Amino acid sequence: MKQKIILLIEDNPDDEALTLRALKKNNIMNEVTVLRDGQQALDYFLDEGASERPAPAVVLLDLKLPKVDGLEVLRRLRADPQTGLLPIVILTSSKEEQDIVTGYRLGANSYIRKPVDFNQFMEAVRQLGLYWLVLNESAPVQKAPTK
Amino acid sequence: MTTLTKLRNAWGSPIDYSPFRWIMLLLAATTIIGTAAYSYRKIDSELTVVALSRREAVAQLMASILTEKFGRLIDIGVSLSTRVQFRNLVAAGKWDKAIAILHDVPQDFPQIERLTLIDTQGTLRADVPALPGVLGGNFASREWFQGVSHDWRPYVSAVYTRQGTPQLNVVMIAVPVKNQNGRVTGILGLQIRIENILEQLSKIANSEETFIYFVDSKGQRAFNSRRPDLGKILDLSATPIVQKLQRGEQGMEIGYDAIEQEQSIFAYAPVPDYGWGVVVQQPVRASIGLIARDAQLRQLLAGYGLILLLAVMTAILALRITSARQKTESDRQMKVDLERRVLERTTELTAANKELEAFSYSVSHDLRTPLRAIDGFSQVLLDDYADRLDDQARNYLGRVRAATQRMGNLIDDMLTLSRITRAEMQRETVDLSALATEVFAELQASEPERKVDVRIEPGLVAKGDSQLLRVALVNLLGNSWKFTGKTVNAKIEFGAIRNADGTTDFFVRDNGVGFDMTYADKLFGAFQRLHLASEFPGTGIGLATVQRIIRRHGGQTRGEAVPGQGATFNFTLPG
Repeated sequence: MKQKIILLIEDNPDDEALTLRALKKNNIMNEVTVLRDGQQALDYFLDEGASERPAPAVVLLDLKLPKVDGLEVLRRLRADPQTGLLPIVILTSSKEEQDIVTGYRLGANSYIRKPVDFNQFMEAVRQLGLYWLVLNESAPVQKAPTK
Repeated sequence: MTTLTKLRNAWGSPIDYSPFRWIMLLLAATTIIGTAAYSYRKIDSELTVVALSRREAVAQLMASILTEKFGRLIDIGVSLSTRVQFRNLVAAGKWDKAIAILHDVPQDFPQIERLTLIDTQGTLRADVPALPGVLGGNFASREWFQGVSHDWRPYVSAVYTRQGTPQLNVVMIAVPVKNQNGRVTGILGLQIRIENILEQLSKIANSEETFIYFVDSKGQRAFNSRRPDLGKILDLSATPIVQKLQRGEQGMEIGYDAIEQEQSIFAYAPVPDYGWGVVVQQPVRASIGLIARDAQLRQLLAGYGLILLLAVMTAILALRITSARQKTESDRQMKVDLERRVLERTTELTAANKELEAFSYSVSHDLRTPLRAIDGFSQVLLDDYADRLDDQARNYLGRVRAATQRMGNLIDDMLTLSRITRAEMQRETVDLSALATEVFAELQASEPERKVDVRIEPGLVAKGDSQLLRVALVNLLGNSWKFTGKTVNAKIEFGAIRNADGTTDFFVRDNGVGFDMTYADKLFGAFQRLHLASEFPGTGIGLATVQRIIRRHGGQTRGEAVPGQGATFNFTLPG
């Protein structure tokens, strides 16, 4: 069975390092692909070579991203049939009501606020990995319609 | 634009035409008053002429009757003096016989008081009825003698008081007696008691307090019908009316009568052949014609007054309507202005709110991220380099982490506070008692082991946003809960005081640690704390939140306390 990968869309290197550490410390050994802005995230799924790339078990999406922001990435991914059912978890600093509401409205599967307390953050990541990588059954990847 | 519209605009424009309008009104009023004054004068003079012309006619009638009367008396004199026998006796100087012929005349003509025979030298030769002591007297100096001897034609004398007793006011009709050849041989005098002639005459017009007097050729008042018994002959030759009469003028005047001491109408007519005159006098107040005239004029005045009043009222009405219209216009303008201003303010506020939201958003995202890094990497150090860190280093890292976490909480509280300020309010009737009961239930659930005497006054309601009021109560009741944490027999009360002016003061009272009133002014400041965090946890945002919520409802907050004995917080929720 092919190993499930995690796609982390995060521009801040500190957050990236801490997230990776939290995953590792929680013994989540899945491969993590890190994309550092919204455009890279869109390209990963939607450019010509997209079908060659592995479909992640879960996408951890930050909201404040360079070039294309997280909510826009979410909207475009949900608009495309191939990524329409992809598990996408918003993992961000804010718990602004507008972000939460818009995120769910656009079809986010979950909304998690990164706690300042690293220990709490660790716990959040642990639960997140357990849930999305072990418990959750994702929808099969939708193939692009053949011409 | 139609003329009507133009006109309406002329009346309706607020500023430009205002003086114009006043001038128009003034002009209209002046026209009405002018017309009234003109008609008053015209009608006054016309009515006066009508009222007085009657009196003039009376005066003329009197004058012609008097002329007639004098003419008749002269005729009698002439017919007596031309009797052949009488004429011959006079020519022969037989005076007594001559007068004897005329002996019965005074009885036959009651107007004739007495007959006298005077020779051409002025000596009284005979009389009937005879008066004692006058025979032989010479009267050549008398006015009547001079009048008749002047051209030897019959002469009507001026009035005089006769010499013989009784001293009557008389007029002498002196008629020359001529012989067959036409030579004057004597004078026949008809002494006429003036009262007798004039009394009947004056009766004709003796009404409406009218009285008549005659002015003789000397300008004396010969007779006054009003005071017939007044014997005095009054010289009036100096008065203007008498002078006019003596010039043969007739007419009418209104003037002040110094004798009667009142405003009077004088109608006068001359008796031309004899140099006499008649004056018909009537006090103005008694003149029915003038009274009628005045009544008519009063009616006229009242009519014009009414017209003026109507015009003024119409003008006032018009002004009120136009000013009302102006007011409506200015009200509308003001409303438009207000609406515009409200819109501007709203736009500004919306912009400010947007900015605040963007700020909060940014704070929420960007301020927390570095904190997490600080906290996270501190933990990394503690985890990965534990063996290389001594206790001191670990302690410091622990403090770094605590500080970042506190800052994280502060940021969250700040965002909460700003959210409360920005949140949209939905006003409804809120059952505060029920809300407080819920909040206490939650507090009790969070610390089930605590025993607190909670008293909630039932039926407390207010108008407001239930979400925000809940937050306020959570903070107030939560504070009481927190600060009674170390109190034995903790007691918390939520109630209300109804003030005399109809307002209600809600209060939350506890018997907790209280606070020092010296610092009461800091009570509601954001991040202000009166207790050590080690004693009672918190960021100092609670009361600031409460105050903002109450202020957004238009109310006020107040806190009182005694250290160690408890605190009371009051708030109002108007409307």
